Amino acid sequence: MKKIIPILLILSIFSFQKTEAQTKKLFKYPFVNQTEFGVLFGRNKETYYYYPYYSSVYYPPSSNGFNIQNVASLSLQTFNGFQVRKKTSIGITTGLDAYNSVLIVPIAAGFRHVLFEKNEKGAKLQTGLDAGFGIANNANSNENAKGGILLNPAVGFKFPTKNGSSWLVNFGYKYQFIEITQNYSDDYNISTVETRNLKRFSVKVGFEF
Amino acid sequence: MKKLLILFSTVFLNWSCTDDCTQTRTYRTTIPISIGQEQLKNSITTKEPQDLVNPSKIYAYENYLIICETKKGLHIIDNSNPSSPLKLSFLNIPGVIDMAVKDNILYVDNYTDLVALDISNPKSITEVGRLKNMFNNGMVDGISWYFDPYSKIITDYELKTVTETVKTNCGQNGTVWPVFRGGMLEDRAYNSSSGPTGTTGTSGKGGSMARFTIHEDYLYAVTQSDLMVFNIKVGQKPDSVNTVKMGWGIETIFPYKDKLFVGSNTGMYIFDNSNPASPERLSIFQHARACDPVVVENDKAYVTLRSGWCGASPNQMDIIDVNNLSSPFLIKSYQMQNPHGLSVLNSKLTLCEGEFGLKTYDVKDAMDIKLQQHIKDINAFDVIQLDASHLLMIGKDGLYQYDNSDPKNLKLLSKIEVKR
Repeated sequence: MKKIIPILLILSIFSFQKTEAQTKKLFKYPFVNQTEFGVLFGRNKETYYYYPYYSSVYYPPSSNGFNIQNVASLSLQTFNGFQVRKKTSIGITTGLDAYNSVLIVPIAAGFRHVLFEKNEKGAKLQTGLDAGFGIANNANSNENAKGGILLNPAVGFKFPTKNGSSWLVNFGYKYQFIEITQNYSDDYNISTVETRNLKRFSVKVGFEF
Repeated sequence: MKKLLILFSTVFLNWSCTDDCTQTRTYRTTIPISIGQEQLKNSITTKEPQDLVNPSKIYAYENYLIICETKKGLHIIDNSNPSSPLKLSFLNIPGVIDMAVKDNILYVDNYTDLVALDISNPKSITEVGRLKNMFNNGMVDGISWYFDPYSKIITDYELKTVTETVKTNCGQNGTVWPVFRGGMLEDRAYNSSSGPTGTTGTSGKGGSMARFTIHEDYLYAVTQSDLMVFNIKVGQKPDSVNTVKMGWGIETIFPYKDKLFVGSNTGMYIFDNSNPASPERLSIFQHARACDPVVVENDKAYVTLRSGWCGASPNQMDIIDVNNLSSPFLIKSYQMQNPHGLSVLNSKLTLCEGEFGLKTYDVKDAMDIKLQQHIKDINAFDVIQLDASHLLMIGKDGLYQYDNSDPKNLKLLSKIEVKR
């Protein structure tokens, strides 16, 4: 992961330098839009705690088994960028991720690259990476949500149509950090901060033009 | 291809589709402490003056002020000059909740025991009498304690601020709240009090939320369910003479003429006290379940009700006609913000509004009471009017003394600050 970010940076700087130097050349790069809709599948672990009651010393609660359940949330994303190389596109990814109780608007740098194609008109194997920040919207009245880093690598297929557009099917992995602070406090509950590391398997279908 | 390899290795290293959520929370909870009853015997000691930390009840006796540091001890303060009160000493008494003074003898509760202390020299206070096993349980600041007579162990609870990190279900089924570990938690403002009138002789003044009061040669103590009467004719040898069962939820006791007004969280009991050794119940004035300090003057009882953990009730002050003690009736209710302790003297009513400050009223006409002054920006839960021009008020920030000869313009005389 550490190596990918510098590569992305270098690529983007390279493209910007070109645009500054030769504005006309900007339009040499064709505009690319990839809009996808999909589901983020994950698993949720509910841990039960045992609180030692009758003790004169404070012991932290100890784990007492857990329950696992599947969760799924909807995701909408749109990548807009330029095709800087024949097989490579760079742009910005945004959209909506409806996680449990928190709605995230991701703003990420996106990178798309065609790994393999038999011929220009045939199906292509595409990989992509989006890295950025998710902006959280509050949902529950007693909570303040703050978004965080998001990372979304994906691999998928591109099926070109006759008019130059393509259908997309992508499989990926999405990591999103959220911090939830309870804004309710009284004499007994002083502060509560919850950090959520959401790790989801994503399946998305979409369209490129 | 190298890039791809890095990408895939990153993904596989982090591969897990289980959400990982942790919650770090800071909260106050109760931790049980066990105290052997034998430990109480020599537990009372006089110490150097200390800072106020968590003051609750106040008691005024002659030129002295006694401030209770809940379950820790009592601050003895020389108040001969209200503009500059002087801390004399700190009396370390485990389990102290209430106090009353008569003829230089201070009566306090020491968990299960009633203790008589000689305070003629406030710098070295000596224990002169002790009545064992008088109280079996108690509650203050929302924390209860109880005594097990079989094992002779007192179990008390201590509030502790705890920070812990637990794994959560990522908000899947609502919020996870911490669990409390025994001891009852109720409204912290339970211990508010205000000033009674009518006690004569050389006993002092406590609050309307006081559970101890002195009438003639008798000390009355209310527990949560009983009214206990002690004969204190011989100060060194308090003697339990009577116990009146009253039902649950008893909060305060207030003497007026030869009557006792007992506030519970469902109503106000009136006792005839013409025979001080065995008070007799005359009537009950019932109201919504609420926390309710009560004071009486000129045959009118002033009762404040507030919403809190003792019950859900509107925030109001009721004025009740108690001219005919066997059938009291409501004159009028006034809406308040969050009324706590109150005090009335010469138709000047002072009312604590908790975090909303302190209010003074003219109550000459019970049908139309007039607001004289509202001091905001202070926390007030307990007030005593000592005389026509001297007001004691205690809040979370400390003890304030006011000159209230002009109820429209209270003058702050001094403040003893709480150190946090």
